[in-house]
Amino acid sequence: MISLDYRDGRPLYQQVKDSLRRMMLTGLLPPDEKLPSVRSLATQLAINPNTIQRAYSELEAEGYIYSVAGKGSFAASGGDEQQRRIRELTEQLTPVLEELKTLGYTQEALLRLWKGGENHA
Amino acid sequence: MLEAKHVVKTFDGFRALDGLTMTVPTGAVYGLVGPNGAGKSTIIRHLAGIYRQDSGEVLLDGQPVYEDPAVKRRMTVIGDDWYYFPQANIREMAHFFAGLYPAFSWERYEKLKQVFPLDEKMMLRRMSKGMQKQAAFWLTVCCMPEYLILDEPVDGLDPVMRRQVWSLLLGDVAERGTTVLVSSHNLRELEDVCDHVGILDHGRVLLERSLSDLQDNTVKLQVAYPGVTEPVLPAEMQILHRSHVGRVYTYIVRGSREDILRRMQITEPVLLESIPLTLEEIFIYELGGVDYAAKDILL
Amino acid sequence: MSWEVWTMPQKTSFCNRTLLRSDLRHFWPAGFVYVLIWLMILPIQLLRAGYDAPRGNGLLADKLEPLLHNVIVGASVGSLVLAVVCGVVIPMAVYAYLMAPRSVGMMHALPVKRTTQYFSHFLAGFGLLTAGNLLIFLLSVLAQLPFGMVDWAALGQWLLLTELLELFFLSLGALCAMATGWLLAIPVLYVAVNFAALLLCSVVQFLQRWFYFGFQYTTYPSFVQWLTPIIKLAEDVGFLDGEYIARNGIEVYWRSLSAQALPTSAIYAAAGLVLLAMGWLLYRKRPSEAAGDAIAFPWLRILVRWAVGLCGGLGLGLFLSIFVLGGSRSLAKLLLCQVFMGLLCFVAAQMLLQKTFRVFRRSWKELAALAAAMVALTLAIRADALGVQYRVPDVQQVDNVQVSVSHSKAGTFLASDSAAIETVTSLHRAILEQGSENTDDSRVLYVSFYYTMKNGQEFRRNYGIAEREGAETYRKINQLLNLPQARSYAVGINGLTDEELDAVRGGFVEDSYTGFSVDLTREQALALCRAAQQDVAAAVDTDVLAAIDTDTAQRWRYQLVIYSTAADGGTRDRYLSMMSYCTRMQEFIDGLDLANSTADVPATEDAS
Repeated sequence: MISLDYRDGRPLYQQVKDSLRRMMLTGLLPPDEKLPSVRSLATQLAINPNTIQRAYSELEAEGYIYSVAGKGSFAASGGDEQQRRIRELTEQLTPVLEELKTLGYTQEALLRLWKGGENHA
Repeated sequence: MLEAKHVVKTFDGFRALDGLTMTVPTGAVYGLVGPNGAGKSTIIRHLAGIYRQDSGEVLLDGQPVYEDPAVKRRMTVIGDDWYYFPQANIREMAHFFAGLYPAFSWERYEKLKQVFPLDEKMMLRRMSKGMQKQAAFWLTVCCMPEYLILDEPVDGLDPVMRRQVWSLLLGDVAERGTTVLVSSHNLRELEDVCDHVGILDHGRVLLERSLSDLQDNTVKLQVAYPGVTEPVLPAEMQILHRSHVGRVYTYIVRGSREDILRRMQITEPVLLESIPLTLEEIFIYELGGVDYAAKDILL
Repeated sequence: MSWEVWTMPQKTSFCNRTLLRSDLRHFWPAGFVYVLIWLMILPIQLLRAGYDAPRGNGLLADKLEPLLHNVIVGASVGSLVLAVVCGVVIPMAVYAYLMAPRSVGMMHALPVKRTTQYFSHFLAGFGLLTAGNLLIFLLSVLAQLPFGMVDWAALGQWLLLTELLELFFLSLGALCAMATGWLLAIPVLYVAVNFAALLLCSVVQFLQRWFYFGFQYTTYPSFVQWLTPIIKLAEDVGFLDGEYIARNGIEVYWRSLSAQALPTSAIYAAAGLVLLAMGWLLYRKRPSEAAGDAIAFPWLRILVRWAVGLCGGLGLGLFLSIFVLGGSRSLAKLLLCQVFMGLLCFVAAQMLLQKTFRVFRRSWKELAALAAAMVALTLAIRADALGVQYRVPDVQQVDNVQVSVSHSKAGTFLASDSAAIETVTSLHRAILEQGSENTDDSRVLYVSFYYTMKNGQEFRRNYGIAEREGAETYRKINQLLNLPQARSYAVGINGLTDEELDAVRGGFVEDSYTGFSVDLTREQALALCRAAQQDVAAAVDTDVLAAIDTDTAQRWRYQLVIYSTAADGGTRDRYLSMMSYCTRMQEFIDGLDLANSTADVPATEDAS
């Protein structure tokens, strides 16, 4: 379910995070479902457990998952998911838009892009 | 915690270890990297208690390793050239280790029979190098060590087996808090499994950091400017490396990504991109300052 | 194979059960071969001796006992040989791991102290041999049971001897193994250590022979003998006493170990424990990276190359100077040869130890020191600080001395009573005083002395002096040869007792000039003997030396043999020589009329 692309420039923990988030968004990992343990995921993927641990810690800090002492980590419930993700993505979008603006990218071109995206969605 | 403090070792006038200091935190997976002849195998043999240093200390949890069976029982070593008794098979070697390492687990031995496709009754001498390596792992892991030292261990294994082995080892790291010290040339692989890295050259440790620290705080930037001349960059930036192809400049900078990006923005580049560094690149650039020949070849 | 029967309990320091088991598992074939060899020496030989023994009635048991006993005692030679061989082979096997980087890495990474490693492996080897010995003991007992008698004493002695010898040689081998990082250097070191003292002593004696007037040979001092274990033990253990003794009423041939066999072996075994301890100390200090080096310790390397340089230089230099170059015996030439060979050997050793050809830059200072040392040693020997050259043995300590003048029978004499010995030593002193100078080119007299001391030591000298009628030496030689004992010896009637005369059966006379010969009857032989005795008694002091050539010629002319029956029933031959003063003997021979008589015709004339 979680796959890692070694040629991807993103750090491993980032890839794990993104994979888990995608799974939660698409419903593969429904709310309150238990996540695999750090150990089992580490052995499955053959990567350092700390990497997994870091991914889990950050996801928890960002509110995507929660942990219960002695039981493990679980996917956090529903709707806030998307809001959170929207927030995250818009945060990423801002500097990109800034740069586009400095390059002379027009609002119309942006709108066209938006519409183009809708056609594909 | 494994420590080497100012270890010096000379062989016939050749100073193999020149005041080497390194620390492997408990529970870490520590990757020891360095060019050939840097002293990796030598320090590993010191940590294993095979060699005795001329000066300095080699400690496990504060206890000197040399000639201390109580300490050595807690660790096992897989060397780059593993030795078996003539005519021995895996089962015999297992009995041998079981007699010397009190924590040896026969239960694990039986379980791992499913993992390693080896005949335990076949003479080890008759097996291929790769199979012998697998046998080494099988036996070593059954000793249930707290500290595992690997000298270029997985280089002889096929990719499937390599992954199996790392799974096994990392499982132990996660579950039992095993500390692993692995020396290798294969930085690609170390990148996945290590959480600490030590870079070794000419008998000294040049750099010793946690991997996340290294990767998060070393940034590779590709920058392009409208003019022809290169602007003067902010003085506080720790630039490890700079080069350019035409108008595109590449900088390797130490510092946090966001911080650096913000600062670079100020210089008003036409193009500004940050690319995460691989361990291989970090290794080369760190050593590049120490007259390592390959510095400008790779980009 | 289960060794639990005698496996040592797991003590903390000296023995590790796992290492022991591992060694036994790997090296049991060596033990198997060992037992096989012993099987052929002891149990099977016992069975053979028993079954091949002649069957008589009633005496079977008594005749059998010595046969079985002798087999067991004879096996002691096997003990020595096998101990020497195992002493090098077993350590090579159990310490082989120290000789290669891969294996030493694995073994030293194990949670075992070096002390434990050292002793575990040693005990595995020694234990294997001991187990073999016990097995052979058992089988030998079983082999004797069909014959109804078991020689416990002899077997027990054999077991003890074998264990003591094996302890010593195994410890020696272990020490050699600790000193080197090459497997094949172990036997080289082993042999070198066994013979080093002897070789050095030989070289020194060679030089003494070169430098000292008349020096031939002196038995090596006892500490040199002790330092050459193989030879000393071969003498004490390898040579068995055998004599006829009365046992159970009949006379049987009974062998036994020499009296020194067990004490000497015990002393060596104690030395073995010391060597074992030395090996232990070496192991503890030995670096793992010495695997593959010729010598494992830097200080030992210095010792080895100096030893090779000095011994090789002194010995081979001598060889070079005498045999290869030949010519005159000049000191300068000798020194040059020695220095040359010494440097050669030193450099060769250095190259071997460092495994490189480039040794000159670092060691030229040492080379100079070596050259100086060799010259100093040779000159020191030449200077004879110990006064070896002028030493004459003390009369009280001499058991007998054989003097020989000009290699002639006429001038040969064995003195065994103190007065005669006194005369001999005074002659010896006179010779030393005269010295070797011969400026007037006189004829050279050769006088040799072969002293056997009461403690078994030998002292041989061979002097060539100028023959001068007025000299002290001349006088003294004549004084010596005029002694009645000397004359008896020269004529050949020394030790002729009445018993022997009674046992005379006949004789034989041959004239080599004419070729004629005749057998003597008993009466004739007795007559000849009596003539000889009378001639000796009647002789007056003469200038023996002057007559020495004629006497010698005479001796070669006539062959005179007297046959008598010896004590054990065989024949004893006594050879007589006719000296120039033996007139009666001459009359007797003339009376035989050799030319006209045939072998079987009894002579008609009687010698007075």
